[in-house]
Amino acid sequence: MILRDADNNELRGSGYFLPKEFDLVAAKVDEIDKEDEGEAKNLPSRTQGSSTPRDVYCTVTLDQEPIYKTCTIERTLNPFFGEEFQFDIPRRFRHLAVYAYDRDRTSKTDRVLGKVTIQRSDLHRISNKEHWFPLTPVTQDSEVQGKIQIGVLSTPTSLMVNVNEASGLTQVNGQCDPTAMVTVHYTHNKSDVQKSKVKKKSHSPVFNESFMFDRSLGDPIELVVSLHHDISGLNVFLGEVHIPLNNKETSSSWWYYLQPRKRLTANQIIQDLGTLRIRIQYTADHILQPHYYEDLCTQILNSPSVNPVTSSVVYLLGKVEAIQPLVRLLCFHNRIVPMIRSLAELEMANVTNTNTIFRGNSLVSKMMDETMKLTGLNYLHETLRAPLAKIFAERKNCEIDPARMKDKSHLAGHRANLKYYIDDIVTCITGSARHTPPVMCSLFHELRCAAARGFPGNNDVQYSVVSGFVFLRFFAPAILGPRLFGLTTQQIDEQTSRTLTLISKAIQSVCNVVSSRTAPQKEEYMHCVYEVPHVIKLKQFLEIISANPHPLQKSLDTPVILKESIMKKRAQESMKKRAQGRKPFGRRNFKRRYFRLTSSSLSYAKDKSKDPLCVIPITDILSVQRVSYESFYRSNMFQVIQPHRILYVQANNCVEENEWIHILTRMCMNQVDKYHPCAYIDGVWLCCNSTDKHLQGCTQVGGTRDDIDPTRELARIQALAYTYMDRLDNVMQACAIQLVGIGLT
Amino acid sequence: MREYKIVVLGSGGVGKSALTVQFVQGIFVEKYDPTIEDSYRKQVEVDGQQCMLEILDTAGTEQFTAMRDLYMKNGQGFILVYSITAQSTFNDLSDLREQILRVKDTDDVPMVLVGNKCDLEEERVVGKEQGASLARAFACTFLETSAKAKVNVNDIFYDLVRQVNKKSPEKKQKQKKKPLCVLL
Ligand SMILES: Nc1nc2c(ncn2[C@@H]2O[C@H](COP(=O)(O)OP(=O)(O)OP(=O)(O)O)[C@@H](O)[C@H]2O)c(=O)[nH]1
Ligand SMILES: [Mg+2]
Repeated sequence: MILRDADNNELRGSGYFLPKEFDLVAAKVDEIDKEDEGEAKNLPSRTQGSSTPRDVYCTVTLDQEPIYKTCTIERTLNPFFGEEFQFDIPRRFRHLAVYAYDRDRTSKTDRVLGKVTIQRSDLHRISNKEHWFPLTPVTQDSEVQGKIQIGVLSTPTSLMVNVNEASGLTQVNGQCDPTAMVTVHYTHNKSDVQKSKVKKKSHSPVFNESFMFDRSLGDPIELVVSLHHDISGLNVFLGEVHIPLNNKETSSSWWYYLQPRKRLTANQIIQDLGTLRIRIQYTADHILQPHYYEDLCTQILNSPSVNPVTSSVVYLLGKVEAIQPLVRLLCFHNRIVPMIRSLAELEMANVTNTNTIFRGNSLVSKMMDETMKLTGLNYLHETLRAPLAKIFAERKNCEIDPARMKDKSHLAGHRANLKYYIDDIVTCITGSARHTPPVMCSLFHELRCAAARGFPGNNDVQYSVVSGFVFLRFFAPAILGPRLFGLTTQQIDEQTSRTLTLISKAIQSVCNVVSSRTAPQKEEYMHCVYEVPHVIKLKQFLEIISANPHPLQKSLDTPVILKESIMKKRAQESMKKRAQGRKPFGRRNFKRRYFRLTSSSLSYAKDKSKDPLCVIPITDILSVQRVSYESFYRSNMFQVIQPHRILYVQANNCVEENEWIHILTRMCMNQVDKYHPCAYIDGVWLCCNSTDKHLQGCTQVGGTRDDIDPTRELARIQALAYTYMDRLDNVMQACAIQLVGIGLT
Repeated sequence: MREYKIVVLGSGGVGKSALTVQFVQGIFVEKYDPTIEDSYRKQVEVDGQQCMLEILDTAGTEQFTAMRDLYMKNGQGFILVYSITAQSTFNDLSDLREQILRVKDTDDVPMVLVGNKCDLEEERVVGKEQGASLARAFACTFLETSAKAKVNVNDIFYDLVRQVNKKSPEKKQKQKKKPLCVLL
């Protein structure tokens, strides 16, 4: 993305640039298709010509690091995943790739079917559009990442090659002991090979070795430097670079990206491995200094009081897909409620049929949706987690559509099962009124008041406007697709998925009865789940959450689970007591544990069902920081600094590491100014070489980032405004207003 | 009897359910009850052939659009509905069609474009000519309907059945029935 300022100058080189770049990718992995018998035979371990279905899943990787895994779709050659995954990219990367695997039921290693690799520079081009990508083969030779710095010095009699350093190399099972092979090809098919020393345990090795090549063998034409990882006799290729040599050339050192192995491609068959449909949304934010956005910010925050609201900046920017950053910014500055009030008034004024009020995808409904997701996610989890967990565990059959049943005698039993689950969820939702986030309640209150003002004779609208958001657009979609809302990470089987659909339908239609006061009419088989007591309870719930001030609102008395995952941790070592007869811990002692962060503590246990082995109160977390790779020769490590000890944790990938650091930083006390970026290993802090275990940190703690970074949101809004300039122009002409403040004129 | 998987798509409140229920049960649903995912079966006779229609009435609400891909993958014929009283519902359909073609990975998909609520002539904002020209661009059939006044309701479903027949004649189905193990 190239930013241009008012005079159409590129901002890239102008010095305004902060080194604060962030990438956001939402990848939607959809399906592999078009695999038939002919193609299957090219895959090694299946029998010739067979069309045996497979169990397929995909992983998303940043360079070679897996950061997301889809469900496994069983027994198919046309799997459909329909999954969405959104994340912040915490580091630079070259490739985003999606690998497709065939799960092996017997052996432990799943077989890779192929991959789709997308270069970072291509992401903008394909962003936002769905594409079918052909799968390409995955071999040891193609899995390459990282770069290498090489210099060549040419003299009349010899050639000197300096291999300085490499960085970001592929790790093989978490290890990397690289060595460099330097080959010079001469005229007349001659060549000479030299080898560097092995650098142990480093994916960013510093070689600093020089290799002399004699010119007596002929004229050098090409230099090839390849990297290999040597473990127990096994040689793993890590990448190579080919540098053409022209006789006189002397180059200083350059960085080269490592490339996949160039093979003699003569006998390579072009295989059809199938195709994968993917949709990627990729945003790279280029953030300028905050003052640059002051005008824009002022205009956005003033928008609620602009009359008519159609001439406000927010209304205008709503036309260019800037809803998400707008909502985040308005929430950050506590202006979301008046903004939505103002827009809702406008929309209601234009309603001809109260039946379909807020039914379109209007600015109000999009903003409401975004606000509920932003402020209500914890609430959603807290409310639905328990009843959903029960459904996943019990897996009672709830099918009540006779057309989908083989044996209709089970109908009564299935009905009872479904009613039991509906009852449970209705109870959980109606019982959650006191925890509904205040921002959501205020919004519901505003909508209800606006409905009362706009349609004085019609009480029903007051309920339908609220339920149209809190049920139709919040609870019902979450029940239907809990994976999309992070309510579970486990795979949902077909029958359970159908159960969730039925519950979601039932809840929605019962809720609709509150405002329409007529029993559901549509599918006949669904009529039986409708119960009057539920209607009464839900009606009360709608009243409570839209009353002002909220009568039951209370601060949370039970801690809310904020994040959980299985990660590795090192045994904790006290800084206070001297190690009692024990040797200080080295680099080992890592164990897999189930981690859980709630609003009051961080704890870990052997697994999810066990009691915690250790509970760290939030008040004891002084700071959370990254840990350098060298400390444990492990990546994605962070440390939880407590008064007398440090907990070292290894996350599963860089995205997860970033998320944990982010949320912990937001929760914790941030009470230390200095920390050690490396661990205390074998009696010494690796970062500052100090042997004093109690020594305060050696490195200044960096600035902390809030969950919402207003500058980042503003940058995003502005970038969107530039991208959709022509569309804005049209709207502006229609509204006849000026955009002075946005700096777009 | 041959089965036809029909999917009804379009924005919220355009009358997808009203059309479907009118066709299946012969009643008009006055009160609005937003759909999440409803399915109906109806047996009809088209051109002397008995057909079993399996109709999937989908959600127009944006929060449920994640499911659309799956519906499209499984559907054989598609009814794209807008309301002649709301321009935005008409504008939404181009993206929807594109998505269908992409999921199906072909340009030839049985499809009917439907402008509903034609009984509300005084509230009309999408002209009939607009609908017709979009249908030409889509290369599909176009009908204006009213679920309320029972105008052209059956016709959209019958037309779709004929399109499916034309695209994949019956004998192909028989072939498919051969393997003993059928994956659903
Ligand atoms: N006047 C008139 N009203 C209609 C017609 N069709 C539907 N309606 C009304 O429009 C409203 C919405 O109709 P639905 O069929 O529920 O809309 P939908 O497209 O299924 O909406 P979602 O399920 O939310 O996607 C209801 O109040 C219907 O009574 C029609 O042909 N004429
Ligand atoms: Mg409907």
